[in-house]
Amino acid sequence: MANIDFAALSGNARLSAVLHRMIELKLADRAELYKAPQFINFGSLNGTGSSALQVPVVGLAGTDLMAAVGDGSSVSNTSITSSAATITIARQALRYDITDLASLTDPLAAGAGVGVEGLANSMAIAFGMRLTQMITALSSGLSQSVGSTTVALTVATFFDAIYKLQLQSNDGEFAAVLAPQQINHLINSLRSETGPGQYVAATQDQIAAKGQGFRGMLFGVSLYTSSTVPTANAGADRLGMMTATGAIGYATGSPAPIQGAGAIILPAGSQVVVELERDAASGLTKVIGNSFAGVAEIQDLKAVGILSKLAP
Amino acid sequence: MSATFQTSASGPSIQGRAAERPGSMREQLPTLASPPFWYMHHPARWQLVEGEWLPQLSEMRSDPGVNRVDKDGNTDQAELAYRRKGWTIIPWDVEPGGYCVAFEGHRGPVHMSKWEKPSVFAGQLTIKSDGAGYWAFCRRLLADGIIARPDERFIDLIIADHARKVDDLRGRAVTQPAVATSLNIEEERLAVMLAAKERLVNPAAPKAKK
Repeated sequence: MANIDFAALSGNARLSAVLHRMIELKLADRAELYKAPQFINFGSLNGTGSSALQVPVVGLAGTDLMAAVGDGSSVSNTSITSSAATITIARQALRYDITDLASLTDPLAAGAGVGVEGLANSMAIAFGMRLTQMITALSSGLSQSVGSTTVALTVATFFDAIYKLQLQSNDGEFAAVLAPQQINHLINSLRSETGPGQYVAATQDQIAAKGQGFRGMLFGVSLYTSSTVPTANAGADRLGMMTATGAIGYATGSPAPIQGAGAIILPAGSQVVVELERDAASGLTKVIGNSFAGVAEIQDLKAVGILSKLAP
Repeated sequence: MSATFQTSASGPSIQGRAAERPGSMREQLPTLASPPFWYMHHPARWQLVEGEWLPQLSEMRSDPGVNRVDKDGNTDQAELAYRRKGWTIIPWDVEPGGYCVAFEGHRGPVHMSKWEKPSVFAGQLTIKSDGAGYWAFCRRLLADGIIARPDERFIDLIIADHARKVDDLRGRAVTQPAVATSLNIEEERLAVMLAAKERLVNPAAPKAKK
């Protein structure tokens, strides 16, 4: 008698492959850095009457010092110094179209796979990454920078950035946002360092609190990494940055849900509004995430660019 | 509908042409879209390249929401803000054919400088940098007066920063022999910086014709 082997069942009662009940996320940078405390959230522009927010930068509370004045002499009038930074928000969006057949055959639990809910859920992180990309792009517009073209980042250059910020009377905790290759070079340089300075790698708790991109502390500076750090010198270098609190700020806006429109999903803790638009004739669902965001350099001397070579 | 019968007594003469990939198989860069940009320069940003002081250029991208670029990508307000802070915006046409080049990407146009040479090999994107071409462009910006020659005071600040680094290494080299190598490199670099500054301040007089 013939055995009931796999070949006898294959294609009928057995499948050549089955889908696992969980998807593996494609390798990508998912470090949303905009939540780092050094970047100030100036809130939502909803209902403000403008798409631009002017942030006054005023020389009060210690900018002007008292001076000795002779007894009976008249003290001269002092005008305060002020400037302003403007954050202009613009629409940021992402759209996925999925057919009913693709959606109904999703074997995973709702929201976990490539179905309508799964696509809607991914909008929040897509917005976070976009905001991160917008923030890291600002390193290009800083007037101060340290480091040399086509030279690897070293601890000495890292110190240069700290010194530059300290020279301008910056205080509080500094944050450095570096490209992955810059972090590698920095750690390589640290291997030959001696002395009291040390790298304190991020613990699981810190990563949970500060986000995926947090790499630890070095000489009291919070280290973050992001693949969105821009290139410089025609692609020969990367240009990260070190900032004090208040160097960079961002503002957001959320489209108000519209009565009578299709279904709307508001991912928790996010500025994104996800709308589902049906094209019944085509059996198609459009999943559209919309939000508004703007970033700007608030005070130039609170940040310094960190230039180093891109190549390994 | 094309004719299928023979149209000449000597037989059909139909020319072939190179095959084209279907639209869905177009060569595209596997990277995120990036908006057009303009180079700009701040008077404080200089760098030592091959023994001379060259401008360290930055990019102003037409990226809606970034540093006052409006919802449509208009950079008017951004330009104004940069110019007030002393930046010089460098127009595209200072380089023949423009220095900002657009490539077709998986997720929209990818804008790079003309000295970045992308290629896709085995599905991976690599970008080679034509350093020589880029530095020649930077030199031309200075020679043509598009960027003003560096102010000596800014160069002095950069040199002072480097001199401090050398002093620090010199102090450590006494107790850490491994630092000696870095010290040699940085001392040499400091000497090149000073020589480059000297050439900048006192350029050699053109040789008289015999």
